[in-house]
Amino acid sequence: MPIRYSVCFMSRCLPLLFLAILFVSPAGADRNAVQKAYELSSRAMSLKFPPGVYSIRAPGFELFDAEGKKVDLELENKNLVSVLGAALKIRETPKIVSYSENGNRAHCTVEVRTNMRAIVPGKKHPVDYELSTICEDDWVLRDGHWMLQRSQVEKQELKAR
Amino acid sequence: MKRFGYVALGMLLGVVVSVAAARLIRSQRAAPVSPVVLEVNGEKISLEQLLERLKGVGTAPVLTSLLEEKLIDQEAAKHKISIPEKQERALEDLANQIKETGARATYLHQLQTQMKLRSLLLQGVSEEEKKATYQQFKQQFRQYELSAIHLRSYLDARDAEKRLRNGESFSDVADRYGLGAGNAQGKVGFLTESQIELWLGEEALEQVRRLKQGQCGDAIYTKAGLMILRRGAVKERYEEARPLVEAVIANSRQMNYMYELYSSANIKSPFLQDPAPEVKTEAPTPAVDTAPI
Repeated sequence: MPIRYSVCFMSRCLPLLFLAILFVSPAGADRNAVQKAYELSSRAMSLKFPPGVYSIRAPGFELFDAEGKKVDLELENKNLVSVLGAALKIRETPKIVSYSENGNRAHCTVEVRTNMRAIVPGKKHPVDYELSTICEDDWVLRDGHWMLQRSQVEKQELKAR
Repeated sequence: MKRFGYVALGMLLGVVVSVAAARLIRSQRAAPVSPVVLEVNGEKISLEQLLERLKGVGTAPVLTSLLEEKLIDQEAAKHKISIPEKQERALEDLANQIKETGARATYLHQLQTQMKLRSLLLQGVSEEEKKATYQQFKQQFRQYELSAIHLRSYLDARDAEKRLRNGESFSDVADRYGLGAGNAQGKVGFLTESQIELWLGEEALEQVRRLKQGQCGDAIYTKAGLMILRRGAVKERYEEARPLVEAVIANSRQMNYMYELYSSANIKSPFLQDPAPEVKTEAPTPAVDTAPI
């Protein structure tokens, strides 16, 4: 192949190649894997299936509330079971706002929107709630799977309609 | 002539008696006498009095349960849902464990209602959807056949471990050292990972995961006490996990389904103030062997 053709080929195709590499780089793929893990947990929420909700957590997972206090996971589970028990329908939408990765560790900010229709004692009709939560999460790569290692709730807002 | 007089008198008496009897029957119909439910030193308490008194105390849960059963029965009939003969027999076997006839019949009806409700809740759920749910949470649907010896002390644990190492059977060691009357031969049943974690804790779950089929672990301090655990078979294929998958899907729909049934029903009862929002949140009974945790 004449050299000028190959230079021409490279000058035209390199930017495209770069773009392609950016899109399929491990970091991009891993961000997708983490997003999928959040979605799996959300799917378990709509199934009212706590073991599925926790399925993305690594052994030794730690949760901290908005005041920085470590949350007792058994208490968290009890609360979740009672919330799910009162819910007629529940839907959760997670969205990664920012993502960074360092070897087998990743950090991301995630915004989770939870829409729930629930029966409230004393009210004749069900109430629609929207819970918006922002978390700073640490992920760790274990046996080829990204697992949630630590979650810090930054902000939480509940609205009833 | 004299005979005619007797006949006329007889007819007249007949008419009088019939009218009196008709009046008596009518008066009884108009004001029925309430059956007596209790008699104390000759003084009677009527059913009406009992019902009036019951209005104030815990009739609502019983009535709500009856109401839900009726709603489910009606809905099942509407959708032509019936219980297959084989399952019906299995339910009868389960109910037959109860000795008292009345309680047995009630329990059987409740089991039948649960079964019908499960069918109603799974209406329209395709096999693909069930399989997809299974694939997504395969590990959470995995069930380990577990046996456990709940030990009294660390010394017992050492002795029990020694006997197991020397080839004594797990059931014999369990009978010798196990605590609890219902723990015959140490059999627990099939448990999911989350059930094991809830009952025994994370460390015990890790041990169960590491054990091979038929293998016993070392004595371990769990949330439920000092234990020796033995792992049996593992149920993890879709066909084996299917009842659990169905239970999870049915449970996720139950609350909303029951609410819809309540909302569209015409419910009248002097015992229920506002029946609509009182929806039970019980999960359908999963058709798997589970330990009484």
